[in-house]
Amino acid sequence: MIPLAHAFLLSGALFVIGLAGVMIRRNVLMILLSIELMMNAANLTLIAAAAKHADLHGQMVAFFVMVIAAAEVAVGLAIAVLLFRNEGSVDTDLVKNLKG
Amino acid sequence: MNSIWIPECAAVVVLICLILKEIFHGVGAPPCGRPVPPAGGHGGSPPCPPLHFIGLMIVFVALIFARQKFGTAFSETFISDPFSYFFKWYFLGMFGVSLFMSFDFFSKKGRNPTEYLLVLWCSFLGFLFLVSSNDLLILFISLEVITLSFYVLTSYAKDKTSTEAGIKYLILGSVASACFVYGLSLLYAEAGTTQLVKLAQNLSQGFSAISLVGFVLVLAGLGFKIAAFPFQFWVPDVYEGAPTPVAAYLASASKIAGFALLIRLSFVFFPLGPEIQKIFAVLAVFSILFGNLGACLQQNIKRLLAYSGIGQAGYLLIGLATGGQESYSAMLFYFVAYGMASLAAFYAVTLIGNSTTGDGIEFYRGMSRRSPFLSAVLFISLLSMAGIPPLAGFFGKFLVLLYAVQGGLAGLAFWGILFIPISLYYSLRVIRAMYLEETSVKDKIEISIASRGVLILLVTGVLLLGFWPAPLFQAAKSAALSLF
Repeated sequence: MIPLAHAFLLSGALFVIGLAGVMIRRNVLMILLSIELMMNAANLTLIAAAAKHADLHGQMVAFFVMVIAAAEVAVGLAIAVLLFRNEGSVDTDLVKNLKG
Repeated sequence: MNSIWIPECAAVVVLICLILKEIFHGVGAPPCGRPVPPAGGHGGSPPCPPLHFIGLMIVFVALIFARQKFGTAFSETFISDPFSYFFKWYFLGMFGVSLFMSFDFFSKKGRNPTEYLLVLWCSFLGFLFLVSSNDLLILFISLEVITLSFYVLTSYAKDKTSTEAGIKYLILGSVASACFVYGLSLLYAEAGTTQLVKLAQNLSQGFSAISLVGFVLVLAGLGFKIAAFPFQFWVPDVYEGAPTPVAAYLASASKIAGFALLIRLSFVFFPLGPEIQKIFAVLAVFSILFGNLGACLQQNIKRLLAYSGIGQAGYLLIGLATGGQESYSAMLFYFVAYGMASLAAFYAVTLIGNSTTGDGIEFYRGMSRRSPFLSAVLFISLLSMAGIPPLAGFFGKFLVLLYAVQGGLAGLAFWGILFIPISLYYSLRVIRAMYLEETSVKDKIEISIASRGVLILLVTGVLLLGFWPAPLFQAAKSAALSLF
């Protein structure tokens, strides 16, 4: 069996990679992908922890997190399309009309 | 069979009925008689305020029916207690006003807000479940129902500014959600349960670094909701770009929902150690500083209200740092005072915005002659938010700071008092433009009887709570007591 610490380390690494992706990339699609990575890091922790506690609850929560992540991407892509119609690109550097 | 979830059930039924009405709109009419979608629009049914009013009344009756019915349901993932009951009334009020504000907003924009209204109802449903959640999973789902609805609502105007607000809110909101769910998973890894009461028991047995990291991540997710420092940078842009009713709903309902959750979660986290109190205190200090100073520099009224909201979140964080039943009841009072004042202010901004080309403060010059009524509403609500006696906002601030001093946080309370004159300064900037400056525009602003009635109700509430705060404070006290 894979030691639990490995699973937690991997999920921590995934989360940090996702966060770095959000901060570095300027393309909305890449940002959405990175956010997926962060959500899935949480899923991995949940499943590993469910195995640790011998409790099915964590696995169940992971399913719900997947559903929510999918819904979030659906809305996110819709807004990305809207952005593309308005700006002709999905680059976040272009959105700087609002400031004060 | 207990019926503690009657209000949620009623809201679901109303939402389904509204969706059904939309699905079958125009079905059965001969093809030539079907409504033709206008250019760039869609064939949705025209907005029908009486129908939504009936929906609100159904939830209203269900809430009255659910009084004194407390307990847990759905294997203890759902809880109904005086605390959640208090907030259900609060959210019903905030949602109702935002709904009518939306009718006013879209009536002048020439757009049919069909899906907008359905999504608004969805978010209301999320609020009802959120305050009743007794399990991290339900809590996360209802939080996401609200947030996803707000992404759609924010970008609903589809123009450049609205899309920009939407994309900013989407990216930062998703990161906050991801942080929240990762923190949730760490707490689960530590405690082996997502049920809040058991979580509190298991976490209090031993302090660990993982649970602290989990807590900080959950706090980051909620800090985004309440728009506290350092998660506040999205707020001015989103409030400015979003349709005004959505900004009002964000300020009054979404922000307060985050605080309601923090209060509910406080008994899980406070046993973690004195660091927690320090975290809240530091967030409070910087939120007050940043919100109030930022507001002084703004030229746009919606941005000004956004920064003012950041400052208000700072005062509420003082209450959270103090902790305890009295402090929480003061916070509940503050919520109502702030919610009513900010809704009234945003409602006035919506109605004024219908007759101007922008929301800059320069458009408010001479407003007292164009619309004495709206100027008075804005005057009272801004002063209440600044904390001028004898208005409701004064008692909110006074009570929160009083209990902070009693709880040994006198320095923090002093910091709060220090910034009240500054909040007065930026409120007076708007008031001066309305009452003392001249304008060349002379046309009056028309207000429908319904919106006039809602505004009078809100302003009366702000005044009444200022002169007669005892009944609401008693209700807040009994609501807060149920948590202990």
